[in-house]
Amino acid sequence: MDYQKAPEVLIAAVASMRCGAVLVWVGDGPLMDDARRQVGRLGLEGRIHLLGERCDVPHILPAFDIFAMASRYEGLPCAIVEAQRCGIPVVATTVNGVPDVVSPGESGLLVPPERPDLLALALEHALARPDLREAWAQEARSRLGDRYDATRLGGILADIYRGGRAGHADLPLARRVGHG
Amino acid sequence: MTAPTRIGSRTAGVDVAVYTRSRQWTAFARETCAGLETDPETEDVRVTVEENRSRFSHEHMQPLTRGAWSDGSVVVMEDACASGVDLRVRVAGERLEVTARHRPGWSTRALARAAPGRGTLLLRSAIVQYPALWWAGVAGAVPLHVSGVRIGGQDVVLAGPGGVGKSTLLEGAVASGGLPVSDNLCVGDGVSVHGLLEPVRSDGGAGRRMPHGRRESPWVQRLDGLTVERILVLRRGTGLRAVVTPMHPASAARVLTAGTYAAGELRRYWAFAATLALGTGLGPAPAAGPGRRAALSLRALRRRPSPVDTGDQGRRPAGGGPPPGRRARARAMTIESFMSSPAAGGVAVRGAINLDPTEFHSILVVGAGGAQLDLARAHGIDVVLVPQLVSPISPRDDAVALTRLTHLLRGADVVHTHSAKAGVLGRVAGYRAGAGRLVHTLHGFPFHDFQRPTTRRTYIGVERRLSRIRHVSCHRDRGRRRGHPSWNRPPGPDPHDRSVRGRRHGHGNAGESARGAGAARSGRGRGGCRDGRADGLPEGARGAHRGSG
Repeated sequence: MDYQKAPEVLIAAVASMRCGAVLVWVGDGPLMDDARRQVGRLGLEGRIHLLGERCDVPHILPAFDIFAMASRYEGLPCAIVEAQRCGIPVVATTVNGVPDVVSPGESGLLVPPERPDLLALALEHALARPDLREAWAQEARSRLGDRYDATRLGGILADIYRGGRAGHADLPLARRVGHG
Repeated sequence: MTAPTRIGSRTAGVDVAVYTRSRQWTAFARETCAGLETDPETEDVRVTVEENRSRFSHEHMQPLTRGAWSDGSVVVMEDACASGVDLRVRVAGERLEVTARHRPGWSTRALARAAPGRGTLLLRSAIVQYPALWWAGVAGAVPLHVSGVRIGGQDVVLAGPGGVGKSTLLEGAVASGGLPVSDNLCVGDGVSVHGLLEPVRSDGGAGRRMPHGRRESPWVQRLDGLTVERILVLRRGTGLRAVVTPMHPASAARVLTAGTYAAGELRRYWAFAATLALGTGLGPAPAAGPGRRAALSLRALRRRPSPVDTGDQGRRPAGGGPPPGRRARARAMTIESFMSSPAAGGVAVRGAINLDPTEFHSILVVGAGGAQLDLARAHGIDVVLVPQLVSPISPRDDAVALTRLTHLLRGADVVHTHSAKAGVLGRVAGYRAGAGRLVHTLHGFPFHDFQRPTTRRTYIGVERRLSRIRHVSCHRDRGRRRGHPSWNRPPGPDPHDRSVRGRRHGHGNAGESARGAGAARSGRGRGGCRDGRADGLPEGARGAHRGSG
């Protein structure tokens, strides 16, 4: 829970939602106290639960209807991949690597960062359409396939590393490899 | 003259008989038997402890090393294993005959008074245990620093470095009805292990006081040997619960071998065995080395059992395994600042874990640990901490980290850096150290629209320059490549080969990345919403996405 994750944006989005959705935030960080104060100020203690650091995320995830993320910037968030693997549709911000795993309208929804109004709109829309959520989740799972499988990662790394065993003289030129 | 007393025992898979006329040495031999005295019909090793205090003659013998002589069949060793005992060792057909004379010098006496437990252990080693170990070695077995127990119908070997908790676990297993083989040392022939007989050392013992605050006690029941079905490698983790996970056989063999070499109990054995091998022409010769034989034997051993790893015990010994095969594996060094993050740290650790340990020797060099580091250790990955890697940008710490990394990365076949700071320092250090291959993985975007422009420009400039000294850039996704300077610029030449400047060599997704970069600039990236016509897309989200390339 830090500047990158923009907790104040997600809390503001949930506050503006009219459907009374409940937000469960898993994770800790330097902005946790600020987030608690914001929740108290908005009087949302009953609707927003800040769980802090948890080691049982695989057990918590299946209880959710939507995985929401309001980050200002990201690499490729493992959390999104894990949620999709668990069959949870994703509503997130369209930053950096996120669009690679979330195709808006096909496997989830994306909104720009720092726009709590649009995030609230997307969340309400997703919550109102369980049929779409189901379709997005299925599509996301099928697209993931074994792209982010740990065994596959090991195989790709081994292929890359093998080029380095011959010594400097035999090294190929610079290469760029996308894995995952 | 009275007939000597005979004290028999079964240890290291061989029958040993100790003969002595001295009451003191009789008590010593009985104590070594730990309550399990036998009356063997055959004697594989016969030890005679004489009261004579004169030196063994080594006339007409060739010197082997300082304090050791041989005539080709008899070996004389003075102050064997620093125990104060002189030995005369003779191979008599199927039997090893050892004659011992206690002739301690003043320093040995002083040390024995100061640390009687240590003195007793040295005497046991020199007079009974090492001769038995060596004679078992002549028959093809190798020493192993392991415990063994039969429990629940399974024969289990407990491996791990000293102090990791093998004895404690064995004690618990015995209390639960298990039958122990050995508390500390065994010999293995690739199929079975036989225990080295010595008293149990535990915190609750009532016998002789031993190092590490433990006391000895005799065995109540003990198996001579067992056929290995499972190897349990113990590590000490930071969690409260015990975790048992499968382990690659090669990793288990490394722990077994490294733990055996690191065992203090065997510290003097290697020189002892080498001296006897030189003097008799039998057993593991120094050139082949007991280590090589251990590795070969372990290789055979690991074909049979299924090794498992427990996370609640023991630290993995830092550093490498046995000399054999060391250079056969590529040394892959992974550099990362923080291991606490499940994202970057998790990817780095999972990558290292999923490499074949018979092909790659994975070493993690990290600034700080966390759950991911525990995971790495639990899977047998070597970990080196460089605390200066975690501090924010600091010229002093960064210089220290760079120096240490350069030293660590010498001889590495692969240097794989992750994230921003570790990526910068690791790539520079890898380049300076002449590492075989430099690989960099981009994780969280190190520069983004929410940074100050000057900071962003600086980071981009650094990344642009560093992109010249890497061989491979890895990305977990395509979107991240957009806007990354090292991706959008043409690939650089081999950083170590100045003859190839200017050549381009696209590979993998390079073409795709160029398309991605172009799409990103025009707002039509893959993350775009395909003209915003996706079914069911809310107006706000659709509109928002259009402008987000």
